[in-house]
Amino acid sequence: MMKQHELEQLAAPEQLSAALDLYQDQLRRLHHMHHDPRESVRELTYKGHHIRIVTSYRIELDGKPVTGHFLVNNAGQVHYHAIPNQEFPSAVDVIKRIVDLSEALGGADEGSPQHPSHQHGE
Amino acid sequence: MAITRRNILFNPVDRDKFGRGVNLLKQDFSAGVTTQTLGFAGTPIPVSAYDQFVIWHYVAMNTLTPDSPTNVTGRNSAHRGPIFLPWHRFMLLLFEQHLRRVLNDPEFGLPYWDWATDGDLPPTQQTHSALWTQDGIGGNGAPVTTGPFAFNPDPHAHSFRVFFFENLTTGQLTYTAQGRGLVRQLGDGVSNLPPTLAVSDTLATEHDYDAGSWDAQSLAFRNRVEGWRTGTPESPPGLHNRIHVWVGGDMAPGTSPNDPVFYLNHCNEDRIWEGWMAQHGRTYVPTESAADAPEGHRLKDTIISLVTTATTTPQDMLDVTNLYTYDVLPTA
Repeated sequence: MMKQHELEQLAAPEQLSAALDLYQDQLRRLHHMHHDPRESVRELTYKGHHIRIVTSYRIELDGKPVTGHFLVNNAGQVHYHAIPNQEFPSAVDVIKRIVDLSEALGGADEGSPQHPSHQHGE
Repeated sequence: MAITRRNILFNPVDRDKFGRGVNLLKQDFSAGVTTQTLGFAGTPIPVSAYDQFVIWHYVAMNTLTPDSPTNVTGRNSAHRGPIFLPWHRFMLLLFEQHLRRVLNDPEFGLPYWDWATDGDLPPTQQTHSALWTQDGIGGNGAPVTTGPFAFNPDPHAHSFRVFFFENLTTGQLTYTAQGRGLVRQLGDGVSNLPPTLAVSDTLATEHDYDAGSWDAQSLAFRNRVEGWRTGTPESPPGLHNRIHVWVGGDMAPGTSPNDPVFYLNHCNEDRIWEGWMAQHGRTYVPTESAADAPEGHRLKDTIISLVTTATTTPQDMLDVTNLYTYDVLPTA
């Protein structure tokens, strides 16, 4: 059982930078997890027959590619990583939700967005 | 001695400390972390202790377990699987301790938002809860302009700002050097919050912590609380997920800890979990020996954090009553 004094040590300010030093592999995921379109591969067996369904999407919104990861689960629902608390009946519904959210989030953007570099190597 | 976590709507002292602590943590750059540390190009921008929690959550959300194209469940290292509740308990413990540090208040307890009480109101009244007022945690808006997290365009004002957020069309973590205001769209994504019945029914009917496929299809307690399944006539999202969707704005992407209400929401889910364990015992599945149990979600699997070098396990998170308790636990 964790003790209070142990918890205090875990939340010391120096732990914040030490964690990033220690978990460089996880931190690299910040910059490498969305570069390739992801396929969903559903596999199941029905009456002795093996079924394999590979799904990938190529979607544009106002002419610009939507490159976040889409998944189709075995129930046929679409899950989109960038809107993680919902499942959708179709990719069209995902894009509609992106539009609804972007109207508000884009309007609040006061700065110039910066994008990831590759300073951490591979 | 264990501290007590209390309902934010009935405890204005805890509420005000929460708001002050969050803003202090937003201004806490004592660790020396910058965007360069995170691997971003350009002029290094300091990263606050608060924002490091946002980044941790985003990375966990995007770490699939297992990381394979055949993982069509979307299960990741913190969500859509059994780890959901212990992972967030660890996060809340660390966040709460950081708030104590910046508040210099060792007795501070993270408050919870009992959203089901608001969910019992007619939908049109739910957005008018005391939580969303100037004296609460501010209201709706793009940006939010009331309460402790209101946006002030004056760059010298040190008002609450969002710096790191998930780009909705690319899924990439993005930042703005100047920051922007917090965004909420209360009631836009779904019209109502979960009612008390949704919580009590979950506690009454779900006797197993998790089950079967260990994912968003599971029929068990964890998945009801996370909100992929509902036992009530209302279709998903349920409980936890429904709060994210109902608040909208910055609560929608994987960078949802940008909105401090994230912590009030998860504290309530943690309270519901504690209520479930009071009824069913401090049990957790899957164990290491369970068939098809996903790595990263088993009882003794390691939970890592991007805010501390120490690790924990679901087993370690089952009983933390020496650290905190709740004023009231929900019942069936």
